[in-house]
Amino acid sequence: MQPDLAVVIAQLQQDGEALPWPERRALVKAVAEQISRVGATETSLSLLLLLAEDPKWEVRKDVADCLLLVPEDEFPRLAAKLSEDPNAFVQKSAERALDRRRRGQESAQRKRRGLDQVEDQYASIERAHGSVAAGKALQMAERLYDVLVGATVHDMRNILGPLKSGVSTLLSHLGDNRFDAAQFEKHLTKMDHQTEMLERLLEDMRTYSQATPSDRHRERLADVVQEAHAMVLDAFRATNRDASEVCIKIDVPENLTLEVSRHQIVRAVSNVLKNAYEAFADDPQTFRSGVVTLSARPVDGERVEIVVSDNGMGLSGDELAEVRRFVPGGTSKKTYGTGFGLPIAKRKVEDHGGLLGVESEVEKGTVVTITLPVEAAGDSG
Amino acid sequence: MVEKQAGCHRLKSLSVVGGFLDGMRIRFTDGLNCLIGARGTGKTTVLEFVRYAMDGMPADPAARKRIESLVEQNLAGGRVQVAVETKDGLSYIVSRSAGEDPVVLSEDGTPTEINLKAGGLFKTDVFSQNEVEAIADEPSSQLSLIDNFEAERLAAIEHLARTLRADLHANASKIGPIRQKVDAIGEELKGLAGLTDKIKALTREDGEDSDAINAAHEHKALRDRERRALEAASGVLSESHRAIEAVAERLGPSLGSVITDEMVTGPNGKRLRQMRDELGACVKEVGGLLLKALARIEGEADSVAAHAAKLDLAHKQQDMAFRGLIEKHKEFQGKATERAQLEKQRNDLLAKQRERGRLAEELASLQDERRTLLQDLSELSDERFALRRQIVDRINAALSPSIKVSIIQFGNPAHYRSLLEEALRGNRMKQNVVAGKIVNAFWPAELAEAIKQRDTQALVDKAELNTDQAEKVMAALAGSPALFDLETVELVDQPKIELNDNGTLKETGSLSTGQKCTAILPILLMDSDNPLLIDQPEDNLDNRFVFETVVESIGKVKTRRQLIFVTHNPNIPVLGDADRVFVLDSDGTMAKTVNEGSVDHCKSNIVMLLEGGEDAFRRRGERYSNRQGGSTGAT
Repeated sequence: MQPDLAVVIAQLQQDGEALPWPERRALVKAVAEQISRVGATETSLSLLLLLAEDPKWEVRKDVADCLLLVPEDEFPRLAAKLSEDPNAFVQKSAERALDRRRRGQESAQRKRRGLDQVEDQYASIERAHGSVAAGKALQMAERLYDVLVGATVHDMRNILGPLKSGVSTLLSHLGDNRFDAAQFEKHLTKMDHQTEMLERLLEDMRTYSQATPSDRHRERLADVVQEAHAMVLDAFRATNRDASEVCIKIDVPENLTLEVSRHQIVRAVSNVLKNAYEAFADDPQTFRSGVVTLSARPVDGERVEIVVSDNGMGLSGDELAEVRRFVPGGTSKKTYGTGFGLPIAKRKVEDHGGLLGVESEVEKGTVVTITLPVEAAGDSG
Repeated sequence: MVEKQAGCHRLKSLSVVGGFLDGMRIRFTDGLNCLIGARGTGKTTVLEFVRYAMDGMPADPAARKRIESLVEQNLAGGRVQVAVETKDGLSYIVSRSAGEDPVVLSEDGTPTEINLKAGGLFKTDVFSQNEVEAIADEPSSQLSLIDNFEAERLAAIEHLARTLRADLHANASKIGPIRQKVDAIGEELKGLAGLTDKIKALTREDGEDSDAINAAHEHKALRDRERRALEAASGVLSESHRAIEAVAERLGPSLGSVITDEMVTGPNGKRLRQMRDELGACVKEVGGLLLKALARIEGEADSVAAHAAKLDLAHKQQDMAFRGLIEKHKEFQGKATERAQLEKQRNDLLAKQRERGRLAEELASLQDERRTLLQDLSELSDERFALRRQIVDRINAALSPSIKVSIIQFGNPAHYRSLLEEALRGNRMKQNVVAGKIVNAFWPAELAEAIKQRDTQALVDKAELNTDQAEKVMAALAGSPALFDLETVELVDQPKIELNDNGTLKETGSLSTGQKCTAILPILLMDSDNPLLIDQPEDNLDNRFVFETVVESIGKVKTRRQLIFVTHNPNIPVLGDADRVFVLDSDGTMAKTVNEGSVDHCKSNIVMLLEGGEDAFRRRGERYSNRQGGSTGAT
C-alpha cells in the first residue's frame, strides 16, 4: 500500500499536511509494522522522526506508541521530545515507553547479576576444593542445564508442532476460500488447548527457576493443606475434569503450625496432591474411583511429616528411578501436566530446609513424604 | 479623567430598587473605580449585585450558593439594573429581579432577544473576596481564566462542538438498532448453509425423470422468489411515494414562511420581496416536478400490480403442472413436500440475506458519517487547544519571568475515567485500577476502536493489563452502548500556573495564600475587553507587591479596560489614580453613597477610612521622615 516512502517524506517535509491526518496515522502504523517485521531503515526512521513533529496529536501519539521500535541511538532524543508533548496522551505514551525501556535494562541487569553469582560460587568452590573440583562442578551444572533445556525444548516442540500444522491447515482453508465454521472451530479449539499447555509449561518453568522468597510466617498446616486441596479441585474444574470418583481423606492435627513462605508450600502440597489424584486417571479426562490420603504428624518436636498416599496405578522400578531424579519433564506417566509438578514441590520443600521422598509400587500406589522444620532456620535459602 | 476608552465593554451604572441598597445609583466611569467605606457598608453587595445582574455567577456550586444567598438577603425581593455599553458602542440595560432571570432591555426600556446565558452581551469578570486565591487551587478555574481572554471565539467553538456531539449522538442512536438487526439476521442466516445442504441432499436422486423433477423443484423455488421480488418492488414504490409526498407538503409552507411581512416592508424590502417571489416560483416549479414524479410512481405501482396478477396466474398453472409431475412419481411425493417446505424456508432466508446486505450498506454509510464527525470533533478540540496556547503565550509574554503558564491538551481525563469505571463496574475486576491503566494508555476513540476490533492484545500491550483483565474489559465493553459515549466523552485541557519564587518555579497549588494571589492577580489584570471587578485585590498581599505590581498593572491597563475595585488599601485609589471613588456608608439597615468623585475630591474620606485618620497619617509620616531624614511621608 506504500507507494514510495521517500516520496511521501519529501511531500510531508514540504507541507506537513500534504496528506490528511487520518492517512498520516495510517502511515505511522504501516511504518511501525514494517519496522517490526524487517527492522528499521533510514527511510522508515526519518518518516517517524518527521511525524513525531506532526501538527495533529493523534499522529504523534501513534509515533509515541511505537517508540520501542526505534533503535537505541535514536530512542532517547525522540522519547524525551515526545514526553514533553503538549498533549497528555502523547506524553503518557512516551513516558510509558521510557519506563519499559528502563525495565528492560533492569531485567538485563538482573540476568547479569545472576551470572555474577554463579561466577562467585565457582570461585569459592575453587578456593575451597581446588580447580579440578570446581571444573567438575561446573561440568555437572552445565550437563544438568543441558538436560533440562533439552527436555523443555522437547516438550515445547511437541506442543508447537501440532499448533503450527493447525495454523497452516486453517490458512490453506482460507486460501481455498473454504470457510467451514465447524472445521474452524475444531481446529481452533485444539490450538487453544495447545497454547494453554504452552502457557502452563512456561509458568511452571518460571516457578521452578524462581528463587523462593526468604520471608517466613507462622501458618496453620491445616489451612495450608486445605488451600492446596482447593487449588487442585479448581484446576480440575477449570479443565472440566470430574474427579468426584476419587475419595480424599485429610488428617491434619488442628494445632500444627509451621514457619513457611505460605504460597510456596501450598504450591508444593498441591502439586503432590494433584499427582495423587491423577494416579486414578486412566486417560486425561476421566478418573476411576480410588482413595487419596493426606496425614500429618509432628516428628521429634522439631519437624512435621506430611504423607500423601494413593492406591492408584503406581510406578514401575524404572519409572520410580526416573522420578527420583526430579528432573522436570521427565515422567513417563504424563497424562495432562507439564512434568514440572514434583520437581517444583521438591525444590520448594528443600528451600525450606525440608525433604521430599517418593515410594511407589505398580498397581499398589505411591507414597510421597514431605518433612518440614517447624521453625524456619535463621538463614534459609 | 481618562479619555473615552475605545474598544472595550463597560458598565455605565448600577441602580437598585429595594433591600439594603434601595435607591442607590452608582455611575461608574471609564478607568479605575474604587469603592471604599467601613466594614458592612455594602461595598461587597454592590459588587455581587453587578455580578448577579450580569449573570456572571461562578461555576462552583458552593460559591454560587453563597453569592445567591447574599443577593437574596440584601435585595429582599427587589431589582437591580445595570446600564452597559458594548465595545461597539451599543447601549443596553440589564435588569434582574430577585429570583428571576436577567432581562436585556434596549436603552428605551423595550425588551430585546439578547440572552446573557448564551454569551449574548459580554462577560463581566467578577472576583469575590478569596476567589482569586481559590483559582490557584482549581485547574478548572484556571482554565476559565485563560478562556476569558478569548471568550467569544471559544464560545463559538464550544457551540460547534455541541452541534457535533448532538450529531454524533443522533448517529449513534441510528447505528445501534441497525447493528442489532444485522446481528439478528446473521444469527438466522446461520441456518442457510444447512438448508442448502439438505436441499442438495434431496436432489441427489437418480432414476427416471429425476432431472425433470429437480428442475421442477428449482422452478417452484424460483416462483416463490419471483413473488417476493414483486412484493419488494411494490413496497419500495409505495415507500418512496410517501416520502416524496411528505417533501411536497413541507416545501411550500417552510420556504414560504422564511421571509416575513416585516422584512418585505422594511428598509431592504425590495430585495426581500424579490427573493420571496423567487422562492415562491421555486416552490411552484418543484411542486410540479414532484407531482410528476408521484404520478410516475403511481403508474409504475399499477403496472407492477398488473404484472403481479398475471404472474400469479402463471404461477398457479405452473404449480398445477408441478403437482401433476410429482403425483406421477408417488415415491417422491413425501420428499417433494419436504423439499417444497425447505425451499420456502430457504427463500425466506435469502430475502433476509438481501435485507442484511441493504442494512449493512446503510450501516457502513452511517459509520463513515460517524468517522467524519469524530474527525471534525477532534479537529475542533485541536483548534480550541491552539487558541488556548496562543492565550498562554500571550500571558507568558506579558508576565514572564515572574509567572509561567502552561497547558496540556486533555490533561484532565476525569470524565473519561469515570465513564469507563462506570462501564466496567460489576464485572468482577478492580475497575478503578483497570480504568486508570486504560485511561493512561488509550485515548477514548482509540479504545473504542480496539474494542470494536476485539483487539484484546492491544489492551495487554498498551495498557499493561493482564490477560484476564483484558478479557473482562473486552467482555464488558464489546457491543456496549458505552462505546459511543466513550467516543464523544469530553476531554479537558489542563493548565498549570507557576510562580517564580527566587528562581524556582512553583505550582500554584503548593504556594502560600499570599503567593497564590501574587501568581493569579497579574493575570486578572491583563488586557481584556471585559470590565474587571475585584473585591479587595490587596487581600493577602504585602504593600510592596500592591505598589510594585498591582498599582503598576492598574496604570498600564486602565486606559484600555474598566476596573471596579472594592478596597481598603490607599495605594490602590491614590497611587492607582482612581478616576472615580465611591464612599459608602450605612446605618445598619440601609447603605448609601455619601461621597463620590476624584481622589482629590474624596481625599478626606480616603485618609479617614484607609489611612486610619488624619492624626494616624500625620504621625506615621513624621515618624518615617525623622527616621529617613527625608522630607514628606506617604505618597
